Amino acid sequence: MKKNKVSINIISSFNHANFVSLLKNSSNFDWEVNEVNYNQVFQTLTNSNAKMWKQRSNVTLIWTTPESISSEFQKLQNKNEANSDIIKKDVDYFCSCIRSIKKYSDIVLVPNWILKQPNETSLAFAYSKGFGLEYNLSFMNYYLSEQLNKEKNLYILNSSKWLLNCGASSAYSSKLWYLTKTPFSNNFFKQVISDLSNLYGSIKGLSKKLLILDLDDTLWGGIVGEVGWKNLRIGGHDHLGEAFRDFQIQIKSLKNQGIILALASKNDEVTAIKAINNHPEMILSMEDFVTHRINWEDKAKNIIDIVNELNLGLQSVVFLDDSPFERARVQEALPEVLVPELPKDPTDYNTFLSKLRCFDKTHVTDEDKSRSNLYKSESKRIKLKQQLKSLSDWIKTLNLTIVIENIKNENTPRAVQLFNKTNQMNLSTRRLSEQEFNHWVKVDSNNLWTIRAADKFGDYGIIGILSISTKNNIATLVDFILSCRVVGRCIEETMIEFLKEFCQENNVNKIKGKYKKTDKNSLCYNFLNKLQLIDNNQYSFEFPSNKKKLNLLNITIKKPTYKEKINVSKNIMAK
Amino acid sequence: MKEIVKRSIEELNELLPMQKKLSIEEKTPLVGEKSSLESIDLVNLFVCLEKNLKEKKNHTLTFDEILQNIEHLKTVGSLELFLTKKFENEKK
Repeated sequence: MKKNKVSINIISSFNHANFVSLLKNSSNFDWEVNEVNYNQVFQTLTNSNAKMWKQRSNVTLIWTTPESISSEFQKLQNKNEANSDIIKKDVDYFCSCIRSIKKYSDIVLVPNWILKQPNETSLAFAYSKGFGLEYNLSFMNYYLSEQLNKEKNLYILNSSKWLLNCGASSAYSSKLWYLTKTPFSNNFFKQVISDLSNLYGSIKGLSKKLLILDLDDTLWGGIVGEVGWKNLRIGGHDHLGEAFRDFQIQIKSLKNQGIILALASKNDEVTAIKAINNHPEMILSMEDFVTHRINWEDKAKNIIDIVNELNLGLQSVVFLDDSPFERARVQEALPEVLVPELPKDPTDYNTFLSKLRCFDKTHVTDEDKSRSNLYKSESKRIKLKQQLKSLSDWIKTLNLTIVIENIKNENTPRAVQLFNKTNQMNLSTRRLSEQEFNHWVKVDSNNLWTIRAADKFGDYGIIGILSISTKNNIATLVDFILSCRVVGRCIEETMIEFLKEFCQENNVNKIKGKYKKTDKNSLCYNFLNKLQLIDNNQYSFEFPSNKKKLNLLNITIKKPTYKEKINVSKNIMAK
Repeated sequence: MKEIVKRSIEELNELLPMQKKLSIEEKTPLVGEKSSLESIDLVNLFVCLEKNLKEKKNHTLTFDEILQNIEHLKTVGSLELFLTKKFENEKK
């Protein structure tokens, strides 16, 4: 399978050749590395004409050791007293340099500082203000995050975690340090690369969305059908019970971050649900699961049913099951599903889950927090849909309200998320960083609207994006994005109608656009094809803004005033 | 010893680009004109070797010893022989 190309600038204060070699050989992305010789940190950061900044990159990694940033810190390693005010100024300068180059890449990553060699001496002095390495290192890291944590698209990475996971003795290589000025071992670098890939994947919307769980010996100890719900091991004064309880707590926290939970268990449904509802130590409740398949059927089939019900792709799924047989079956039948090898000992489950980086997020939006409820509402809608005769009858019962708004600052994170995560109903599949998004929106001849929707089951939040670029009285439809959760209930038609009205009000006669085919956006093709705009031979389309109106049923639509922002005289086109 | 050398070469291969990866055969050149390895690659190989010898056999191999015996390390086979002899002699 062809890997996605990711360009990365690497600036470091130590020899990073082994890191680059491992990065280039890593499997998740095709890393295109642009590097400068090591120990050229400030020379590169302060030189806006440096070759590195000539071309915009996806990632800039600035990886330094504390003594390379602050010579005052170096005094501590020689057992001399250091002045923390001077260290603070050194960190300030470093931060200002980082801010100056932030614009040259989509994201900037700064691993926090750890020592380049293990330090075991001066236990009593470790946290003395004037002499303590640990005190001043903690201070530097704290101050670094204080200075940079409000910067968008800039992430401080936790190097201490890599150290901990690797173990200090195998994280460092004194031989490599003295021979090549490489402080860290290849095992340490592999940890970094794994986290880097997952972080970049999550920013680009590639992280997992749905966690499907087994019950017996996965969420609780014991087989409920055999021992009865009262004898299941969850919580209590029992080491295994506590382990299962902690595991459930962590799963619940994933749900709160927007991961959707579902159950796939071979059990009697009534017995299993009774256990979930009645066991006093259960952390997860039936409310936490968007849907479930508790039956005796093939788990691979059940997983397919679940993803179809939720309108998600198999590549969004993680499946956790204690049974190697079930894991192997799902892995073989559904290779797109991530099936981690759950440890044999349940006391290791919690740590194991915390090390799975596939759910990592850079931030949590309001939509993430309520995603589970949105999908639950969606399940109810589907059930109602199945009871009704026609789609239009069904939509009429929903009391659907659609709110179209000009882009606002507070909606930008969600809009950027939609840009980067929506695959199916997406005309051009443009992926934009927040910076690129803001830049595009500011262009006078560009217009971008967010689409919200709510119905009698709940509020969907922002679920769509519509954008155009206008030139010489012709509007080019640049983005037409709709979350797959809400496709097929006339929202997409409403967006097209709004676009036509907007253009008519602003004397724009024609609307044109181009469907950019990807592996995943055939849903968008089908919609445009249904409107007779494109077919297999023709992906470009053009239609008059006064084209015959589509039937929008009885949807309530709230729109912005059409005159708010349009400048048709400028000749700036979207790329 | 074969196993330790094999493991060390596998670790080195993780760093090398596809076209430079070493096959684990006795005749595979390591040092000299016929070798495709650069000095940094050799350093990495010997660091892996030193680590694996310590972990698996509790043997110590210094970089100076390697440099002094570089003539004996032209191929994978001669490296294995050098290490076997060295640690056999140390036992005696």
